[in-house]
Amino acid sequence: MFLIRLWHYLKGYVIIIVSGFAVEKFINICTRRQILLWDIERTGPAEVTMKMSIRGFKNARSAARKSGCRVRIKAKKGLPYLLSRYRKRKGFVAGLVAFAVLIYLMTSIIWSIEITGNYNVSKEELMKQLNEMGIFRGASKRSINPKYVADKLMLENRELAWTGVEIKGTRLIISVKEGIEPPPVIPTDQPCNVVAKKDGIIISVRAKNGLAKVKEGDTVKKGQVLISGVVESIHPEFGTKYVHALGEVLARTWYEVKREVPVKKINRIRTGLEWNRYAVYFLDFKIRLPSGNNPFELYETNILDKAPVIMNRFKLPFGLIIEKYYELKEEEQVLEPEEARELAQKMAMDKLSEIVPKEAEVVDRQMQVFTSEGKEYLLVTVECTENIAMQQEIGGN
Amino acid sequence: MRRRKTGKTAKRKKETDTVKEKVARMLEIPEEIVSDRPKITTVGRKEVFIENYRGIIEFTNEIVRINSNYGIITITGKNMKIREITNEDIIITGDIDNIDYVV
Repeated sequence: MFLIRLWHYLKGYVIIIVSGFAVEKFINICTRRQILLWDIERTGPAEVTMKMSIRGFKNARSAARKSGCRVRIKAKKGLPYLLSRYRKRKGFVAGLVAFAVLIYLMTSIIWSIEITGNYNVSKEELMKQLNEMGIFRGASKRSINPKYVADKLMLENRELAWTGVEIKGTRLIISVKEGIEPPPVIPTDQPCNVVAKKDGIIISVRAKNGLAKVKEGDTVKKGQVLISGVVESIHPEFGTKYVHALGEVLARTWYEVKREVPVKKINRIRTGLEWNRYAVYFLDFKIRLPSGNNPFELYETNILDKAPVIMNRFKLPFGLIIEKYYELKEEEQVLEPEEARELAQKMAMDKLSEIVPKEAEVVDRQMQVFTSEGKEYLLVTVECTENIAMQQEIGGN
Repeated sequence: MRRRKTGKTAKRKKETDTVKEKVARMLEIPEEIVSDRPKITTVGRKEVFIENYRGIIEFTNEIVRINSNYGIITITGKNMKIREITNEDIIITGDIDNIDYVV
């Protein structure tokens, strides 16, 4: 029922009042002419109200004449009439169309390119490569094939282990994952030595090929040959044989970090006062709105980008930037010895987690506090077990 | 059943099976497809649906008279309206009291 009503509404219909003594005859003539009538209701002794399609109404005049009835239009309903009313307002319709077209055009363009996950490959470098592929701000969304872009970026940048290219509304999101570049591999048919990657005490040597030069308990220096690829025969007449040395050398290694134990700490606290600076932007053009000078001496800022984002997908190329300035005050805090050491330890641990390689296994950790020149220091030593074997060409450094 | 003498009354057919209907029955085709007999469906007391009618004779809020090949169908009731009318069928709604064949 609803669908039929909707259909009538879309096609348009008229509500007519038919008056006369042979209204039934009028109805019969109309039905015979395939004119659809509905909601026929008697509203008076010689008067009937009914609904009729627009197309049918054109034929109804002659039917009325034939049956001797008078037809009056009570109301015109439906979309065609609604549209014809707006047809006169040309500006309005033009605006409506322009709006739709503009929205369509604006949303079919890449307005922002976001690159995440890159550390060693610079954003500028990636941008340059994207530009060469014809991807820039303002490029048509349809011209971008995410798969192709991802493949191309992978091929051009050896450092990238994975690349994801995603078009989200008007944003192009490129997320990359950088891998660790593998060390230069020496071809297996080329003779080489195995040398120490760093200083340490040998725990075990497992030579798969070549001649082990060190044994358990030896102290080795960085660069020292551990497994030699030069194999001298006991019988001098056979001469020297060069092999592709290969093996695993586990060694105990140490890492140490010294940190001063701080006496006091400076805390920066927000005073609660804040001040905003506003700017509007379109693409890269930024217009600062006059808002005076920053009244704070010590502050931190927080930049908010209030760009209209439609349905979380379509970011438009203009917006408002609010720079929030928060006033700060410094407060010195004299630390308790306990607290100070904890702080120093935390700093040292942070540093250690940076320098200790991931594959090393931490065996022991020692902390030592000592005083030198009136200052207190914390020394953290970490003992690890790790493979220090590294292949190197014979004669190379 | 009363007999009403109206000028508009259709020529009354005798309700015997025509050849068409016999063939339809033999072939197990629903008879109403080929026959010209009116088919009246009522839903509750609110709605009457008539197929194979020939035209309406009278239409007021209280009485609707519809011509068919086998006599005039008279529907009486209150607040009656024609919800839809096409060449083949007519839907009447309202508080229906009576459906009569007037021959």
